[in-house]
Amino acid sequence: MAPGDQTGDPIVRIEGLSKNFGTVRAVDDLSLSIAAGEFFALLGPSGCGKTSLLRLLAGFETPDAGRIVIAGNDMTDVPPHRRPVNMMFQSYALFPHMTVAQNIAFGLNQQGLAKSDIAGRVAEMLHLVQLDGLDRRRPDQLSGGQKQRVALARALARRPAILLLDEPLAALDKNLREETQTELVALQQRLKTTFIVVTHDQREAIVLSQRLAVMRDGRFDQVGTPAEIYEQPANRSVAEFIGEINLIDGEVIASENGVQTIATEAGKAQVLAQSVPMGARVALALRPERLRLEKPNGGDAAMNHFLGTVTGRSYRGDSTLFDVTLACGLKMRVLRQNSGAGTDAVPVGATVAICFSEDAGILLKT
Amino acid sequence: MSARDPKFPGLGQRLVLAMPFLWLVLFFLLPFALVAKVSLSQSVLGQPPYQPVFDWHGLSDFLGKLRQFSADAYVGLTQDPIYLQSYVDSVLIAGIATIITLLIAYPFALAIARAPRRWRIVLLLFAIAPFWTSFLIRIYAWILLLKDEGLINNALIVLHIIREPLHIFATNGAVVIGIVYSYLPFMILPLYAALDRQDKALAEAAADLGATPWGVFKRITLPLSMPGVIAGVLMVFIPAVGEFVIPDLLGGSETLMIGSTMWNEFFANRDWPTASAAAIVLLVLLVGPLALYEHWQMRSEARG
Repeated sequence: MAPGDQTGDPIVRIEGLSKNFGTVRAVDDLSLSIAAGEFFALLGPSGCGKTSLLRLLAGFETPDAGRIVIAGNDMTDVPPHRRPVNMMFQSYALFPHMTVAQNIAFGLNQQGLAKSDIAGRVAEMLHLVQLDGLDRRRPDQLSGGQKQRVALARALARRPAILLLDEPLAALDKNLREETQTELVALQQRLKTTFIVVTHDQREAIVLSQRLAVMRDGRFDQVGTPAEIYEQPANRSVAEFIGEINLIDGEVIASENGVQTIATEAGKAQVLAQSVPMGARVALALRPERLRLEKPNGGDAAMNHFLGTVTGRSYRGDSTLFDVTLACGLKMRVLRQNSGAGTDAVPVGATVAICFSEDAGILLKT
Repeated sequence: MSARDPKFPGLGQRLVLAMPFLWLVLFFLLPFALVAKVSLSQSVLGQPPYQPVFDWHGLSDFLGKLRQFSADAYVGLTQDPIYLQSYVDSVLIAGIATIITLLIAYPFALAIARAPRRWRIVLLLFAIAPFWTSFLIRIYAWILLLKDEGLINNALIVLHIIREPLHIFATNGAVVIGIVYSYLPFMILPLYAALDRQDKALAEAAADLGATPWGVFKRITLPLSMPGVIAGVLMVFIPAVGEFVIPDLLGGSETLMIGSTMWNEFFANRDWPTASAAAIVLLVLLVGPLALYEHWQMRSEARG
């Protein structure tokens, strides 16, 4: 998949889509294309409009403006039961008065398939989600993970062009969630169905999707591959929402051969970045794992150095997160891998230098 | 919290638990026993108008007292066709009225449950607003509406829809109208409770899986609201079978409901044992379906 934009024919195209709820603009003039077979994530905090966009795609809401085109057909005013789209609900919405098999067969019955075909497809779906033999259970006799699988099987049974997943893993506990993430990715790659997942969990969006849109206030902050969004966040809010990041305000004082020199309250720093006008106000964005802790005079002299004092540390097993307060009062975080005996302990109170290379950070407009 | 065996509740808990039982014993079981006792005695001309049986003066001669019991009143019920006719008509009128009430109340309840949240309380208040006026006055008002020279007939004649007044008043039809009108809120409330509880995502999921709006209703909304339907039907049907005021005021000479028949037996004929026997039989007739419902519910719960 080409990074940044999709290849192949778009299976979903939305154009200038808007939806208001009362005075709230939930979806604000959005345009987007998603390729057939793509695993796409809508990521954002609650109330950002991601679920509204999903419900517009499913047909549960009608847009106030704009168009939705699915597989080449204008679906803007088509009711949900006539869209080639199926949804997996956050609450799973399993029919409590039906067995697992009846739940999965529900959509197939509506299509008017022959009984034997339906039975065959139900068995195939149960096998797909590894629930063979549970066909006669009722939803209240299932565990949370089993319910999640039944919901997935039910939504996939009609072989939709697009599967919409509304926070599909939110109700699972952490271990099961990580396991299910992997399975979901494998399933999507096998079926080649377009998956559009809504999540508030940036880690989940990064693990699951080939491309994702970061949403805020009904708009897309950035659309791109997980790596693009993590490495090259378009603005401050994306940078802060995805993973942990240090943001230091500064001003461009020199620009030479693609190396920008920034003056910040913590000191000067050199960053590889596209040319920025002299005197522009920028934010230097540094991921904690791209920083190194050194002794005050240690490390590579060619690197950027900020001096500070360790004011806190939290051990995370595979890594340790250090809070460092710089001389100017600025607080920064440094993540250090606990990769072996060679890493000497840095105690709280130690004076340290935070070192980073020219390509460790990026510049964001403020 | 101190560890206390839940099987042996403390004195306070026992008192609280005893209250509803005490209530049932005082106001249901005791009167029921009195009526049952009267139904097993024989009618006499006197004060009281029945042969006292099984009066409580200690346990002496227990068997002798038992022998005083007489089944004459029950036998009498089978000999005069008016009782059988009354039971059949009561069940028919109440049954038809219950079905009509259900058909009217269901859309009401569904509309209220699907209304915006802030409107629901207001709409529910409208549904139960008639309770602010006395039941008796409302039934009298229906006389004015249904009479040959009443409001409805006058309006239809003025509008040239009919030429001769419709004879609704003093028929079984008028009784059905009165029951439907009076008991509608008792049907709406349990239906609303059942429909309001339904997860809206279920209907959306069904539509998403290809069900038409009618299909969603038939396969999801209606089956999941069945507990509310059954509760509403029982809450209307049971009191409607024994209804006395509505047939008395709106019914005619053809109307033969068991409530009126018992009233006649008790006050006009002063045959207390027969009236009591009729009441006991009615109770058994009504408890039967209730017990069936309980059994059905227990079974569906056991099934999970």
